[in-house]
Amino acid sequence: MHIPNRSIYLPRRTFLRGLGITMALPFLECMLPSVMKAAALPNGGLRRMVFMYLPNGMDMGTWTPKVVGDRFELSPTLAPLAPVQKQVSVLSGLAHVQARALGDGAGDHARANSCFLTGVHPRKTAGADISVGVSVDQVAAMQIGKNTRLPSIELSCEKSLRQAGACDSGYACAYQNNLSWRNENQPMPPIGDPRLIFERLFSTEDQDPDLVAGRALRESCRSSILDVVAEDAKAFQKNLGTTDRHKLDEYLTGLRETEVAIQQQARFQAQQASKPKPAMEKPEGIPTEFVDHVKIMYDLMALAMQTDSTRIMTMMVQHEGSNRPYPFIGVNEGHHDLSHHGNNPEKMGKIAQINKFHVEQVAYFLGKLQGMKEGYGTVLDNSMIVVGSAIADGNAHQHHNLPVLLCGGGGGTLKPGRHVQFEKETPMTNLYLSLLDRMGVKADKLGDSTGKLERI
Amino acid sequence: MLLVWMGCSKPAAPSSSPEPATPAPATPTPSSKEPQASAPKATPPPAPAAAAATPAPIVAGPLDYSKDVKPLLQTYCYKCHANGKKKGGLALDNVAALQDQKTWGHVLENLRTREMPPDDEDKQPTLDEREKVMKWIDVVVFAVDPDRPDPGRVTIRRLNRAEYNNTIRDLIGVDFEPADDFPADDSGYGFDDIGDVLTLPPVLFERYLSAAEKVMSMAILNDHKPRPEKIYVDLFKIEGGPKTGTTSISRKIDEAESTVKLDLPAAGQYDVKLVVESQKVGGEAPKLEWKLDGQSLRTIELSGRKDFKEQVKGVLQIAKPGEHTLMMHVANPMAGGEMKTASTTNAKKGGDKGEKEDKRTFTVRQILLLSPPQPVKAPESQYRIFKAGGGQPKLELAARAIIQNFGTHAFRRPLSNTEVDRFMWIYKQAGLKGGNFEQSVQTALTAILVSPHFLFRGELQSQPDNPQVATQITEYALASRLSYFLWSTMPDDELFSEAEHGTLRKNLAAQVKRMLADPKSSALVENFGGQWLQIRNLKLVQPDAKTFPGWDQALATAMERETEMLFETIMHEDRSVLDFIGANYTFVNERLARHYGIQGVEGEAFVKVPLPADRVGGILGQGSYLTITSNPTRTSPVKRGKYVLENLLGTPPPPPPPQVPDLDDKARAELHGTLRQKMEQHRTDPVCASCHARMDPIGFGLEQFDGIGMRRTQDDGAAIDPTGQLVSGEKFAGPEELQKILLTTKRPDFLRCISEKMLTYALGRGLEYYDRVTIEKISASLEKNPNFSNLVMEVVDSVPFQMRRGEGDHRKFNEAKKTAALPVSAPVTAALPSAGASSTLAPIAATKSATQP
Repeated sequence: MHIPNRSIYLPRRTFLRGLGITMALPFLECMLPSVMKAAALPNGGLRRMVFMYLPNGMDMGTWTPKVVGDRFELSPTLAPLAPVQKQVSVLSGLAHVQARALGDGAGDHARANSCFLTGVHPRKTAGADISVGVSVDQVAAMQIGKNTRLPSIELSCEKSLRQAGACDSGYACAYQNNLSWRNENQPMPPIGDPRLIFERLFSTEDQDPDLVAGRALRESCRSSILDVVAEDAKAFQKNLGTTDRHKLDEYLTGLRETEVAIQQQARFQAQQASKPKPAMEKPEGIPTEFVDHVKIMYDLMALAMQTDSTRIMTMMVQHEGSNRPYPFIGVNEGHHDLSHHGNNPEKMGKIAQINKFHVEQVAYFLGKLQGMKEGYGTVLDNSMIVVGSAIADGNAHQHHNLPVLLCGGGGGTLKPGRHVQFEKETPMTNLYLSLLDRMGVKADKLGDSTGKLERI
Repeated sequence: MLLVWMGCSKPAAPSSSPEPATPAPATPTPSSKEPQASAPKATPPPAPAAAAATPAPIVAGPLDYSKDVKPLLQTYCYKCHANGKKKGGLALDNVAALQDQKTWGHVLENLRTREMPPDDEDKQPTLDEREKVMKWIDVVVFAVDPDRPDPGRVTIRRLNRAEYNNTIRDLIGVDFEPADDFPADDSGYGFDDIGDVLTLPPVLFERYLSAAEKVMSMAILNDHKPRPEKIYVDLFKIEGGPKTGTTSISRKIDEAESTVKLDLPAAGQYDVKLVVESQKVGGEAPKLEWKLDGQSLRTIELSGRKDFKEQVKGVLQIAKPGEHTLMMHVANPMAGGEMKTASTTNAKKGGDKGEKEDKRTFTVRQILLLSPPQPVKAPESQYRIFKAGGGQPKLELAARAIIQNFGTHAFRRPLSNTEVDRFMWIYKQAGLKGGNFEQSVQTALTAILVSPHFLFRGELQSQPDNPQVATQITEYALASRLSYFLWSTMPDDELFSEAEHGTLRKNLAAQVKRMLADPKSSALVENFGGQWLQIRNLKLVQPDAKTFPGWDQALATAMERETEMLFETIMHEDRSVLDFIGANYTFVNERLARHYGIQGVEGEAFVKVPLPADRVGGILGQGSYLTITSNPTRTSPVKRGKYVLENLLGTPPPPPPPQVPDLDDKARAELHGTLRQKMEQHRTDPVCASCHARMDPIGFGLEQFDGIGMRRTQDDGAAIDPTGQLVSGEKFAGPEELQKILLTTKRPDFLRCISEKMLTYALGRGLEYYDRVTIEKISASLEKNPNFSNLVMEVVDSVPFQMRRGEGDHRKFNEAKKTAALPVSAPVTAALPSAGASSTLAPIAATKSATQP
């Protein structure tokens, strides 16, 4: 395996400053050992995985580069990636077979959304018995999440308002509103308000006059409170029927994770006590303009990565089937409506425009990560970022030959800067297994995976 | 239709003959004629022995498949659904299909809605014949006994965001909505109060803990150290400046001096924070200058980034408490000449969007002052909470009384001693860690707000995993069901008191009447109405500004309000629910009146007006419905039709087959004429035609309203043809006739649909096949009395609302009665309360005196 010299694996718990940004950084350059091998590192060293979802498929004609290999020319839609081209691979040929109907009729959007990170065919239900599968990010979070203050973060660029009424063709809305699944029944809802993300990343309690008083006592009593309500919940559970008991299990899981989060907070706070505060101001809420919303979310993701607050993130830029118009780039029609373009060149052109807009934002994000120095390399060098959709052409709702980008150097374990063509119908989940491997996560199977990908 | 066919079950013994083995091995069951036998009000429940006495009144005699049903199917259905033909995937001579309850569910549905046989078939069954097949399906396939309906079971429901906020408001009285920061609730069956779908992800638990801490820190002051006071400046009180551009949440500022009087509590340093939006005009961003009492403080160049919320911070030094004047304006207005050119070029484009960029202005969204630390006084909530501890000789006893009282309200039932002990332990822990009395109580109450008994609405029953036993829910559980249904919040003192005395069931009608009249019933409008009629989506739609220059936020808000007011009027005046479709009045403010072309309405306030001649009444003519069912750049007859079928008639069309592109988007380039003409040219594709024939005509009838509900006569230069024919045969020419059809021939469908929607919302679960009995009962009652209060009363009185059954195979419930071994059991108070088997019921009387005023 080729490992570029500049990518070095670093221990956490150290920090770096003076890069024009005043913030807590995960390590100090002087602490770098000169040579290190990936395999020797527990939990895969400092590597991150990020999964980003773009809805309604792409205009594949303007997406797919013409040539395969490392000398490929960026396609029109991917052109904005030029500044980071060496850090991006275009993967063609991957598929999400489980997003197909397989006898369940309509509902491709719900299936694509919930299948994207799980590789599992969701159960068709309007609510009574939701079931899909654990998602790749949560497989990682459960094994290595403890290495950072937050095991994982789930984000979106949507308002916290949800569409009223029924969702896609008899599928419960949960399938379309969540990418990340803790287990087959438990979605991890994404947060779209940048203020809330900021508050999760950086404690802001000291800025709230209501919370300043009695803070020490409150913090010292938290674990007692959790002990008591856990007891309460267990007593409650004994008198409930099966499904209700499961609901209380969700409660107890949340409770345990909150306990861990409190411990993690204390553990990392002690280490970070001397560190400067993030230079970014606490955001006021969701910006009015969509572009600003996307940018600020990417800023926060970059910040979370740079400060090593978490190493696992999912970003549902828009939910599958989103009908958002993009008037600021001249697309006044709804995205979903346009995606059923019926091969009308004008509509396909508009889809390509929307795709390109999103690629531009991804390029902004990647550029930001590339600008963040980390050891001898950059944050981007130590990351694995999957950007894609579980629908290829939105008109036909195809779930094979998906549009997928794999960005970042994976801490020297990836060979970015190529256009790779995989065999037809290669499961997307094979890619995920390969990435989990590089994260130091043990997983033999995920959803419909059949093995690992060799050529990434 | 909302029915979910759970039991796609097949009988144990597969039959090789073409005659079906009956899916559920039941025969028509004799049942009790005893009045009120099924009504939960009757206690004790019907004696099982009586059940065998008289035959069921609804069935004339045992129906037999071969004798009664099959011949009818042969006559009317086999043409398309047998002998190798299976239209819509249905073959009625397929053994496997005949043994599947799902098949019969679909048949039932199509018979009930008269979708089948299709209207253009010559041979049509008589009403009696339809009824016969439907009865057979009910009684034999599903073994439903209308006198002893299966109440089903509701998965334990956690409070959703609206319920959490309202409950905190009523429990504590702090002005704070913590759930706004919770992740969005998922919805199922069209509503966000469905127990099965309301999951509790870890991130939500974290939020519960911080919300509880924050709420308690606001409700109880635990140290009396001075602290800064937040002073929000009321933007309406700003004087001077431009006359336009002021809304309830923002204020526009230009070069003229805009001033606001501040009444400041103390001398000292104040931190000021402004949230502003600005934009560059003439290549330059506006500069904000502010003055205090005439003295210039600062001039700041704003970002000039449009729609970017910028924070401007500053400091005010105040020498004396009392009144001060803060002034702001734009320090760099456009020069006179520049301004003229700009305004003439932009004048024509003006319209509803307000002035164009011919002036340098900025918009203030918030002004917040943080005072120097002030002595603080305890909030009202603190008195309310601690009152319960009054008169106790010892602090510990006082704490106990406070916890017991607060807990009873928070858990919406009395606490057991074990539970009180648990929270007392927290109180003591906090004391050991150095907390004073207030702090220790505060910590214990924080724990109560994180307890599952607060966050979930648990309903206990003696045999939760025995599907054969149905239990009447307790009076406390009933009080909660009622208050969360009608108010989206906890029961108030009166409901608590009725439950405590065991008189709630007896006084149900009076309580429902009182609750509907209470202002808190606006929650039913917002949460049930907002989701049933989907007007919440007005916050999400984005009509294209170029196609619809008249669109803005004020219009969206007005449209939402119009529909809400229709709902409120029907509810408060107890009008017929048919007014949702047929009202001959509506509600407009100036903005909406202008949109509808109604003269003489001024100002922001809404007034009731008779309908203008060119607008149809009820939801069909409202901007809300017409907008949320449109695409950003055009109307969508498909979506408008689908909405009516799904939300008003309860007969949703089947979803499109996978891989088929939406009809109206297929190669439109080659087609010409109005949207309707283009769509009709597509109708040649039979795959699409069968479903679209149900949806599109309804939308065509409303094509005279554009994508934001404005009246129009032409589409793309061609005259609009508003005529159409429903798949069930009725013809109409224009919206009024369409409306009339909905009010007459479709009236039973609407009454049934609204019953289904409301029952789903009230129960917090999807409806099942066995709920058909309940729905029939509610809609039959509505046929006689369609008033709103009757609908609510019927829902509240229904078996599924009053009872719950144990979990497990639902078919066992229907089987249970045949052996008569397991009767519907009496209320099980013995199993209450929940915590620990050894717990005893703390008498609420002990805490009653301490009940909050």
